[in-house]
Amino acid sequence: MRSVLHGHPRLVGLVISALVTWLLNEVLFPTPLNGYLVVLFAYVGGVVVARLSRGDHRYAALGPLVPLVFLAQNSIGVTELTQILILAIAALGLDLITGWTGQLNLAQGIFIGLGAYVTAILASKHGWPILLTLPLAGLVAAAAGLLLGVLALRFDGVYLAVLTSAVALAGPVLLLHYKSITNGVNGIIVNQPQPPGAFADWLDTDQWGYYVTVVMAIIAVCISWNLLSGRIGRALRALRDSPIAAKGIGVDLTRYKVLAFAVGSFWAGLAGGLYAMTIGFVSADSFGLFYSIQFLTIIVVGGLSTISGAFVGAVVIYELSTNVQTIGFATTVNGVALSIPQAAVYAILLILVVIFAPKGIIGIFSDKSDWSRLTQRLRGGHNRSTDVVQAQADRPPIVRLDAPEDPHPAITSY
Amino acid sequence: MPRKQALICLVAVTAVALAGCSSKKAGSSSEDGVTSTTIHLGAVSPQSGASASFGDVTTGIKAYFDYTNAAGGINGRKIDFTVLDDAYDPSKTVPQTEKLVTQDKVFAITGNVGTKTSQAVYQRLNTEKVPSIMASGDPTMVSPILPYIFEGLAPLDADINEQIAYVKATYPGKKVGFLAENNDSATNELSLLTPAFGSLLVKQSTFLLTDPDLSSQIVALKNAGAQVIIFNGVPKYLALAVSEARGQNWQVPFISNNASVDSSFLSTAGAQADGVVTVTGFKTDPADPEVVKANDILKQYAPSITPGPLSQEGLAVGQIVVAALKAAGKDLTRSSFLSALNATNISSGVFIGQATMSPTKHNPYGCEQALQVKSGVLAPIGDVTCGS
Repeated sequence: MRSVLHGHPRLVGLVISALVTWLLNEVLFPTPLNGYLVVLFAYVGGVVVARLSRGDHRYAALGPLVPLVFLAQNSIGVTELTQILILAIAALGLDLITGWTGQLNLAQGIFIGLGAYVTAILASKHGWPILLTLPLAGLVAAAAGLLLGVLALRFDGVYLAVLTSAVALAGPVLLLHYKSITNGVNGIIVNQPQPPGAFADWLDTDQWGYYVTVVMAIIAVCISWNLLSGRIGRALRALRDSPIAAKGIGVDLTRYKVLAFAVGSFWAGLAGGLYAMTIGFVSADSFGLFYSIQFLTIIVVGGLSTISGAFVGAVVIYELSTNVQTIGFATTVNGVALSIPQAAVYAILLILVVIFAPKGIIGIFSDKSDWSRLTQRLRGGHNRSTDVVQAQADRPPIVRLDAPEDPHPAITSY
Repeated sequence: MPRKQALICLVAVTAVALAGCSSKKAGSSSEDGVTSTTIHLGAVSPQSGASASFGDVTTGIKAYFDYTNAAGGINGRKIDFTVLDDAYDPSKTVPQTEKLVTQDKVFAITGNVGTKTSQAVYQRLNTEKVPSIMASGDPTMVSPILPYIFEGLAPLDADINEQIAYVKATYPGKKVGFLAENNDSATNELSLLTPAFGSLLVKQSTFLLTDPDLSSQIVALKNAGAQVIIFNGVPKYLALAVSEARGQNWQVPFISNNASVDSSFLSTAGAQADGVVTVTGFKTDPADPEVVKANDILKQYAPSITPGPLSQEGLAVGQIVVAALKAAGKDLTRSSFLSALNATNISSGVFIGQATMSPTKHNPYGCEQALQVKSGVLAPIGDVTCGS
């Protein structure tokens, strides 16, 4: 048995924790056991077995996800997937600006709003076919992003964060102000498009919206991949890691900063157009500062400077924010039921991700993961103080401009 | 190596995405959600985020369903009520509502809370032929009437129309001043007051919640020759306005929005509160037997919240749903439920007057009552007015 397990050290923890999850969920405690406790037990079980068999226990954390993948067919709806992909496209745009280029942008939400309004206004007030409005939504947002990029040239770090959050705060107010165009607080209802002739027989409106979104997501991934794996990608990373050095080797800072903002905002605008098409209702107060911060959370949780991180982060954040439930304990204190409210559960989970996987969920897959270093530290194998310095040095710099070198250059991971 | 793993991850995500889509379109049938022992109902409301307090509406609805179940259920069936969270974000409302309809296969949507979130789903719910009761107070969803869409909260404009009707009846020909907090609600109210009063609306004066007092606003209204003041704001500023006017020995009548005349206003303004008029579509007297009953149900079945207007209105939505389910009979289908909803006629609850619906009226409320403060207590004044 042990030798069999040895053959696939990585899979041991994963398989065991997946099995434990499945057992706890389906066989032993069909309903009463709290979902988070199941995940915890599964993880502990996976780690213990992996350790006993000298396997790699890091992957135990992924085990509880395995049964979910098989249940996905029944538990994830088309409209849900559509929204997750839309979040991911916009997060990919933000990752381009913040992850690769290192410009902290808190205004991504308002560019989605801009795209959504372009599509909503053209489609519902001027009768445009909705698919035609999508590239235009992207272009309008890109133009606005270009302006923001030009402004951003003068700012760095926290100052840029203040500038972009000001844009995020002012955006919805402006949209509400021009009532004659945007319909003010009443918002705009967009009639969702029917699938065109040939598709109408085997797709309903939601499925059509989903496939359009999938195609757009693939286009976004392909273009971003091409952009980032070549000269432009190297220039953006050089700009992030050390603007002075980048300038020294001949990178045109102005051009690439503005380019990152324009392209990143284009994806936001496109996501906005898809939002208007699939939700069918646009109102300005949906696109405020908190909506923007959600995208920062997505790329940090998924993994900064990775294309797949935007998608993984979107799935995790969307599912967490809609499915996290209050953890109740079967005791009362002074007559009040003891429980952790769902907002606190969500926050705790995010804090855990940042502590245990500072390079995001994609980071768990990388060979020198922070995860293993942290568990080593917990076992006392490392000097604590140097670990902290090391952990700080490992974080992809967002606002730090004087990073001496990135020990895990983002060039290697997409 | 990381590239390879990240790729695998992306492929996995795509695989999940396609897996979710491979299932055939699961349309809803009229038998969805009803078994011999249960009726499955659902609603989406904000349970988290900045607007989480709106979730009190669904908590009130759930309390009434639990109360009904404890009393033996409906024609032998118990209600199973699923509430999903959308954090007041339309991009979550659509998937969550779809989840209720296509995966949980609920029989009806009873109490989707919020205006912009309900706007995003009401047309698709009508297309999917799911009987749906929105809890938004927005009249646009029920005018024009869609066969499957009903509204469960009192329309936002009803209070304002009652204020207008009261002023016109009690102070005909008098000049009207409008004192309000500078926000959307005041802008909306002004758009109804302007056509109603025309040139009689002599002055509109606004304040911010940071203003230390309202002396300049009161002086401006007095100088403009206002003889009646319509107020829209919060309790503290109504108390400030009344005491400022009385301090200037100006005995102008105040007609306030409902939210401003609460216990904090009555205790702050003291004797000066006497004579202030407000309007309501719901019973406010805590000693009213219907209010006592509602609060008792809420305390027993929703101990996590303090009974308030939102949970009481939620309770009323539950009452309407339960009445219609009972009237639809043992052989419950969506069409019999719709007919029963269209014949809603409930004579007593926390609402004033009757809750009635018909094929041409999909909002149960319409009755309003003016109340006046007399010796520190709100007392009804004049008749209940019903109708549009």
